[in-house]
Amino acid sequence: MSASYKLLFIGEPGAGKTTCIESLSEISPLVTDVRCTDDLAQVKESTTVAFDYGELSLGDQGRLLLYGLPGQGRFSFMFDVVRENLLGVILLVDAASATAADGLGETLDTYAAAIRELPCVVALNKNDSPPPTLLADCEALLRKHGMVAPILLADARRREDLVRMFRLLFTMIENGAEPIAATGGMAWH
Amino acid sequence: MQTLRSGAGRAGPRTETMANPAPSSALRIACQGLADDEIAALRRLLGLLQSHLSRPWALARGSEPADVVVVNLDAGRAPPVNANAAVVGCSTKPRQHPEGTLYRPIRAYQLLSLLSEFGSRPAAPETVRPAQEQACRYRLKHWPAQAMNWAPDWWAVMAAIRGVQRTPEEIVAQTGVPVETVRLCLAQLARSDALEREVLAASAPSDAAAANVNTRWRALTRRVGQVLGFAR
Repeated sequence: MSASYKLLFIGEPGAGKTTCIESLSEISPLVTDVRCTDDLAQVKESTTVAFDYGELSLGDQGRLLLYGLPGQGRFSFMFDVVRENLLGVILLVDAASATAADGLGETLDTYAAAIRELPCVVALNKNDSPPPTLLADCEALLRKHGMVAPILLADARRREDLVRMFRLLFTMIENGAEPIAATGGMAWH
Repeated sequence: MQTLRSGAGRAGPRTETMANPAPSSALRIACQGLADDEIAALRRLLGLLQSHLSRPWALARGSEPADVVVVNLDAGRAPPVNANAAVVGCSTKPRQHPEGTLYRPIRAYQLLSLLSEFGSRPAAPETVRPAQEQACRYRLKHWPAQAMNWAPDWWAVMAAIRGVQRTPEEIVAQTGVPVETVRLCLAQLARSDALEREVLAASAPSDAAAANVNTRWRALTRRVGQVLGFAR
């Protein structure tokens, strides 16, 4: 049986989780979107109510399982589903939203304790030139939650941006882990 | 634990001589891999810029410890540099190297900017001064915003100290990145106030030998890179 590893995209509604997974997955992604019936309908037609799922084959290295989780606290129980063999996390922020920092804040309130030690990248999506205050706000939120993670601008619709995101994340995975021989498994600082 | 300030201690790389002794309060600049004529030009530049600098600067003499070390990145691998000195690279093609690399031959305006910035920093407490040859472990406090423009090797260094303290030697063992690159990156991180430093007791052992390069994650990363198109 081949190994499987997991990567997690977490973000507020509309942050781009589904777009990322659809762009990368080699299988038809499982998407649990439903039509919005609340205030969110003014922002987007549908939203993810469970998680998105896709896969990337790595040949003899196994499979990379891609999960998208909503950032809201009421979905946090689903983290347990993806915790095992989780390699790293990409936190997506809707940088075009007026409440972008609030979205990241809620995501970190919900997940920071669980993902703090994991390799993590914060991607500001949907805005090529976000206000400098947003970058500062995001940095402050990371520090508040004791997280050390790079913040980069990305357009989740552009594959080259996703590749850059992955290159950075896997650099962190490759160089941040304890040697396997010393730990008997994955271990992150 | 303390926050590293560049130049908190003085390094002892191979240094160049100058004819006239500098005042003892002068900050020292050392060169690695530069030709004699380039060092002579640097000495003349220092003389010209002296009146524009808030603190006196001089080329380090003999084995004199240095506050700033200028490394010629075109000269291949440089010998190890003590990370307690600020390390700055120079190259005829600086854009092929990390941000902050100087042009070679060194331009007056760049040297003035470098030395002005360094000279304006508060001196570290004397208790930290005897850092020459001290063994230190480093830990990343935050990921600097400008690091997105840095070389992937520098990302590897930062990843290695993201959640754990490591010595430069342990970082080399963990990442496979050359030690001079590790030291350049650490110096830049220190300038960005992104580094914590813990001075090790003289007898504290380094874990460099135990920190084997992680071949499993390397293979996985290589495979993901091949699939997505960023394989090295």
